Amino acid sequence: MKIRISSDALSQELFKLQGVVSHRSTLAILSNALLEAEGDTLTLHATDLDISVSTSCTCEVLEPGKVTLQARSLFDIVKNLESDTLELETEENHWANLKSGSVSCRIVGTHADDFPNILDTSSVELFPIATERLLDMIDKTIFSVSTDDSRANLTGAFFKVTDENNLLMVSTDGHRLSKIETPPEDFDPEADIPAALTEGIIIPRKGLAEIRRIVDADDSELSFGLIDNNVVFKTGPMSLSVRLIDGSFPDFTQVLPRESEHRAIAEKSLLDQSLKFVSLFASSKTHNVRLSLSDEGLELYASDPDRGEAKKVVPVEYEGQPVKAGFNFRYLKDVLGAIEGDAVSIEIIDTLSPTLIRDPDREEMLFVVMPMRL
Amino acid sequence: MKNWNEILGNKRVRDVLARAVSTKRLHHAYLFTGPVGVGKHTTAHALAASLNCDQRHPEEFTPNCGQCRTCRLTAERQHPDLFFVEPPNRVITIDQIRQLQKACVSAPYEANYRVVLIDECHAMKEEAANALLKTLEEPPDQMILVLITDQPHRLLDTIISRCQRVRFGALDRQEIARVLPEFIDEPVDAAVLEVAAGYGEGSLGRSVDILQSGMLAERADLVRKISQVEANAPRAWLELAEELSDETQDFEYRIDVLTVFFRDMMLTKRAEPTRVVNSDLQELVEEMAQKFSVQAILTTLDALMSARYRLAGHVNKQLLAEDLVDRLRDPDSRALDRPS
Ligand SMILES: [Zn+2]
Repeated sequence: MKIRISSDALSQELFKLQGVVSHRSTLAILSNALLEAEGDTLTLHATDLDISVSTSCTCEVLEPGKVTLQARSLFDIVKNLESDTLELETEENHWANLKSGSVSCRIVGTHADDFPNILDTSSVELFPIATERLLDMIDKTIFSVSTDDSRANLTGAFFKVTDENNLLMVSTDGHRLSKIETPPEDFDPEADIPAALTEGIIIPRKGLAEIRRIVDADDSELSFGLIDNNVVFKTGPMSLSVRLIDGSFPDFTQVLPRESEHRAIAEKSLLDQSLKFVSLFASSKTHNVRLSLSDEGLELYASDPDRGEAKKVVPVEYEGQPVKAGFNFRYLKDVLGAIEGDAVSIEIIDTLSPTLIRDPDREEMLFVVMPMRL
Repeated sequence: MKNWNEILGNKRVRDVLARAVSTKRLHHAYLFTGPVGVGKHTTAHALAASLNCDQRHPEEFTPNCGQCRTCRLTAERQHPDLFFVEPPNRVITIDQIRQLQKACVSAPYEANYRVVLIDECHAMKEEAANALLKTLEEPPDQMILVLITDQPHRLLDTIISRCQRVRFGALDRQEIARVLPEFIDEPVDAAVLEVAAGYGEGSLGRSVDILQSGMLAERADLVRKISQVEANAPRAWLELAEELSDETQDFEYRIDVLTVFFRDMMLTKRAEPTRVVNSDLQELVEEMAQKFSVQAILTTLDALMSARYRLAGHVNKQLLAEDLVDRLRDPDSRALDRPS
């Protein structure tokens, strides 16, 4: 294989692979990227077996061929080149010679056959989805995806097309839940949607994070599809496929609290600041902060026998009975972080029931936090 | 890694496994038990290759071709659907089991089966074993777990009962002698190969080890030293103890070498020379057998075996060697047949 390529262009594509190449795996090949040169295109692949990224860029192919090279070192070399023209040529033993301006180096490579099989996504039926819409759905749910591997079905976000032809994304770790349901933009709800999508799929957290990392919010064209238990996202020359989590997502509608007649509406930035202050006094073990609602406002209180106690009252509009409940303040912070609006609505039913938090301006999403012992 | 058909001995075991594949009665979990070095790991590794070989017959068991990409990557332990667990430091940790479980939640990446080999599975502490139980109770589809051990008595009953047990037996001595040259760099005398095969007691692994240790060449010297040092020359005995215990690994081999040699002396005394392992040193065996009484040989064997047992634990090897030498030199219990 021999190519002449712009180092800028190559570096941009190599960046997209870095999140999935592994450095610790016992499978040495997984730290390599597969490079294939044909026609006037260089195609690059990387995989950690759960997430695979393929991308390509144009180049001058002097001799078609393929090879695998250490993805991290290749990226480190290419991104630091001064000259924009890079010539890459492989030797019999699969080593690669790189020449650019006054720089030349050789790096170790292996036979392309050593690379794990690549999922062929060329025939996947694709549904367009607005990039911003997808990234927003991820932002609103990724923080409450479980990290507990013993309950694998919770270590991803549940994604489906609802009976109302909305897109739904839900995540829960058993202590909290985030849900967003939004009408699809660009997406044709009349299209023949695969059954798996109407039943729902579970996309692992790392897959979501990787989409977040490499899909540019300005990329206008994003589409997705399903193939062989993978969800595939495509934008421009790049396609990212994520192995779905087997198993069924729990019936989260059971957890959703009934709507309270009395919502408390607070100013978000003030609540956020107050929480930051009071949480300084929260126990480092339980992270417990007590929220009490009454006509005097929303009182935040925390105490720790080793440090002391603090309280702060935030003015709210509230007309219901006095109620209180204890929460892990980190969960509250995560929710406040996901809400972009100026106001936040809190519905505490009683000490034991889950509490509903929302952005009053965006009813399509909601957050549930389970209370702790007071 | 050996190809399925080239594996030494235990053909019955391989037939059972092959039949299980052909009749689609392959179990989710196997427990391979039997002595060290008789091909348990080799068989599991070759089974993995055979199950996934690109050239395999879709309906019945076919031995791995050894040529295709899958066979090559499997042999190099670089196949994405092959998972090895082995104790890094005498213990298999719960983290290793969790990693394995994480890797196995989804279907095989590209192969027919995902195969997991847990070597020295008795090295799982209780919490690791309990974690593995979960996988054994609800094994994912298309996954084959092979647990390997020479010490099944150290496993939880709950683990044993959830695996299909496959017992490996000792290998044939002639067979071992035949394949030994493949494992060593320099050519060795056929007579010495026979001896090494005898020392292995049916374990190819142990035969290779003893051959590579170079101890077989030292045999005659070692035996002569033991028999020649004067009973009342304490300095010489201490030096011998030091020499014996030079390196822990070598100390083990030396004890093994002496044990087999004294056993041969016993066989010679009982006029059963055909079973003698040190066949190339027949004369020395006979000469030594003349020098020692039956009682002295038994006492010596006893001392050697207890030393070998204690060496496996945490002991001061120098002290152990001195104690051993002391037991060997005691003229009463050694009961030398002195020329009258
Ligand atoms: Zn093959």
